[in-house]
Parts: sequence; C-alpha cells; structure tokens
Amino acid sequence: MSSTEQGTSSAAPAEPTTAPESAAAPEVPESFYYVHGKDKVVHKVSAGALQHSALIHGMISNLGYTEEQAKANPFPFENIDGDILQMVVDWCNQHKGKPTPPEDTNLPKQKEKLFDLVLAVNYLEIKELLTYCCKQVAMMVKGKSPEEIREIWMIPTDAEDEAAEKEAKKRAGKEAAGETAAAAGDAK
Amino acid sequence: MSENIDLLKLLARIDDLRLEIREIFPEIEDSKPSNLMEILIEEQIKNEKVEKEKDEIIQKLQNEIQLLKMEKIPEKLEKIPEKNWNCLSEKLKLRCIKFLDLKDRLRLRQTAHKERNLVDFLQFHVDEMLIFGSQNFLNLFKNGESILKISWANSPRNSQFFTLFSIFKICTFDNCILYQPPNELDSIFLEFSEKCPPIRTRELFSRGFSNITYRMLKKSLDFTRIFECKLLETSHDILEKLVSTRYENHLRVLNVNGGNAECYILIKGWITSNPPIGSHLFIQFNGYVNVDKFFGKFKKIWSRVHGELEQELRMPDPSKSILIQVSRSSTIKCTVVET
Repeated sequence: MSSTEQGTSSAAPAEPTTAPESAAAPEVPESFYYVHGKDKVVHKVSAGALQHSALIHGMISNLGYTEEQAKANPFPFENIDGDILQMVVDWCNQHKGKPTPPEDTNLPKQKEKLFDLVLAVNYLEIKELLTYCCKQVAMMVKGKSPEEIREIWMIPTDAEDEAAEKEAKKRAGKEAAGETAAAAGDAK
Repeated sequence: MSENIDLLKLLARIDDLRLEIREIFPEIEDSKPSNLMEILIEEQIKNEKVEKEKDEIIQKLQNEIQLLKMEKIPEKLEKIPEKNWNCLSEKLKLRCIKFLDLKDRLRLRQTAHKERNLVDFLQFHVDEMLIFGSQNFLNLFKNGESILKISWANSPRNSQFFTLFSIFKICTFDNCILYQPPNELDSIFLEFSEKCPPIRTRELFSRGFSNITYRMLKKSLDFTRIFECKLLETSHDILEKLVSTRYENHLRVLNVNGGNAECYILIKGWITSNPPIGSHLFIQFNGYVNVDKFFGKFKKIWSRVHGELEQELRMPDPSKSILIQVSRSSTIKCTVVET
C-alpha cells in the first residue's frame, strides 16, 4: 500500500472534486470511497456509484474498509489520466442506482479522449459505459470509406505495419547482439 | 600556422620599434597605428575567425556523420504516442466492430489485414440472401429489411468478385436463395462458385440445378438443401447429378416433374450416400405417384411394412433403416431411423 500512501500524502491538499458536501453528512448511511488517477487528485465516490465498476466493487468487498481507512488509502489508478477518471466518476455518480439509458450524450466526442476513456472503462470493468463508448467509437466511422476509416482510426497500412515489424526485428536483433557481446566481455 | 607565428613576431618587433622611437623622440604624439599595422591585425583576426569557423564546420560534419551512423529511429516511434484504435486490445476492437453494420464492416475489412481478420472472426448474421441471376444483383435482408443491394451491371469485375467473396466470408445466413435459374447468372458467379468460401447458411434454396449450384454445394457447410426443379430440368441426368453431390443430412426437392422413376433415382442416390440417423429427404412431385409401383421398386430391400403408405427399407449399414411415408398430395418423406 506504499503507493497508495504516497498518493494520499501528495493529494492531501486537494479537495474532493465530486460528491457534494451534504452527501458526506453523518446521517447519510451510505459509505464513501476515494480514488485517484495519474494526477493524484482524489475523487470521493459513493459505494453505490462505484458498484458500476466490477473492479472497484470487487476491491471494496474484499478489503472491507471502514470509512476512515478508505479515506486514508484512496484506490490508486496510476494508468488513468485525471480528467478521464473525473469523467468516469461523474458518469458513475450520474447513473448511481438508476437504470442506464440506451443513449448517453455526455460522452466525449474527441477521438483521443474517447479511446482513453475506452481503455480506462475497460480497466475499471464498467460494462454499461464500455458498451456506450464502444458504440461511440463505431459511430466515428459510420458511412466512411476505407481510406477515411484508416485516417480516423489511424490504422496503419499493411506496408507500414511490415516496415514497423522489420524495424522492431532489427532492433531486437541488435539488442540481442549487444547483450551477447556484453556477456562475452563480462566473461572475459 | 607558421606564417601566423611569423606575423605575430613581426608585429611584436614593430611594437618594440615604436616604443624605442617614443623614447628617443618623446615630443612625437602617440599616433594611430599605421595602415599596415591595421591590415596585419585585421588579417590576423580574419585568419583566426576562419580557423574557428573551419573547426566548427568540421565538428558539425563529424556530429552529422555520427548521427547518420547511428541507427535510424522510425518516424512512428519518434511521434508522441497518441491514443487511437491501435491502442485497443483485440477484444475491445471486436466489441466496437459489433456495432458496425454490414456495409461498414465490408469497408473496414479493406483497411488492413488485421482488421480484415477481426471482421471475418465476428460473423454478421443475415436472415436471407437473394441472388438474382437474370437481373444480376444480390440482395441481403435482415429482419425483413433490405440491408445491402448490389447490382453487377456497372462495377468492375475485380470489385464484384471481392465484394461477393467478402460477403460470403463474413456473413452467416438463415436462407441463401439462388432465385433465378443459376445458368443465367452472371459469369462472375461461374468464377466465384469455384473459389467460393464456405457458405454458412441453414438453408440453401435453388430454383433449378446447375454446375454453379453443384460447385457451391461442394463448398458448403452442413445445411438443408432445397431444390425447386423446373419442368425442363427434371431430367434423369439432372437428378442423378443432384444425388451424386454430398448429401449428408437434409434435402428437400420441390416441384419434381415426374413420378416413380424420378423418385427412385433420388431415394437410391440418397441411400448410397449413407445419411446419418435423423436425416430427412423430402420430395414433392408435380405429377401423380403410383404408390404400389413406387414401393414395388424397393421390394428387394423391404425390412418392415407399417401400412399402405408407410414402409421401412434396409440400408447398407445394418444399424439404420429408412422410413418412407407417402402422402396422397404427391409428397414423399424419407427419414433415417435406428433399426
């Protein structure tokens, strides 16, 4: 848990960006947990909202944290950008305990962010949001020509792929040769 | 370099001389350096500058040579990695492709080999495919709605072949219907039937039987074949060719023009192919079937008589027999049962 502790210490001055103050009132029986992304900004999320994520839900049920422990040890998601985690947390809060609508208009339209979101959501195992995101990704190329699809999704052509593979092989070969030479030098 | 040193020595000598002159004639004011002196000093500075520049150029060239000698880094790797389609795992890619319709999948299939394999892996189910021979077009239906209509009239031949191949490669069908007599199909189908990928359909319906249907059948997977024979096509030759194809399971032959002889050819051929238990052969005649004559032809292989219209025949495999049911409406149903 050292990484978590580091995250907490660095994120200590940061205010929880989500969940209104009233939600944390003692009379509310709901428990809250804390998560942070690459930017170490801690987000306060209710257990109900976190149920969307199979990964976090599993972590919560296995750890059995009290509220204080949860506050002291926010779940670290170092591979997720802060703004992306914010989006996910917002979505989870919006859809807390609600049936998920067939369409979600709040998803980002920028392709870079969308792919980031897909990767993050897949990692956090939020099934409904992943379905929306994948649909959004598919919609990006609807009715487009093969060339346009290649451009939008940045799909490398077979020639480009082959060239990249050749380069990778060359590099691997050279690295291996360098290692063997170094090993031989050490042996001497 | 030696020239420069000589010059410096000379300058030093001149300076010494000047000092001596000033000592001897102190009234003479210190004048500006002579023109010769200036020129010499300027030349000296210039030479130094040139030398420095030369050194710098040599250094630069050496650096460039060093860089050229170094391994070239591909442009792609130099770029800051941007999140895109390629960052997704194959599982996620498939999840996205699921939301694409047939046209978009066909287009995505053309982008790269990896994407083609993904699209092919994720089969697209179509209820019905109609191939019209005489009108030279193909129509695919899903939930009763036409989702893809292709006409072969003006498109280039390679493109026709590629499209047809792609459709067969990525689609599964409930029904594949060769609606018009296949002999009239565009020559593209003649070529295609030779290189056709496996047809994933539950039923293949053909109005007629030709070399094209025969070749397509050979490439097909297990499904029910339905043939609607036209009057002229119900010759004994056609029927023999029909039963010589690989009939393992279910076959329905409709509109057979004929009677006992035609029926005998079909059933005999079917028995020879040794279909598994539970297989069906359904034959519908246009004409009249003489039940007595019909069963009389199979007298040698009778195993059990259930009634006037229902009998069991022996098969080459002793563990199986064929139950034949003849109806008054000119239909014959054969089922392979356990003995």
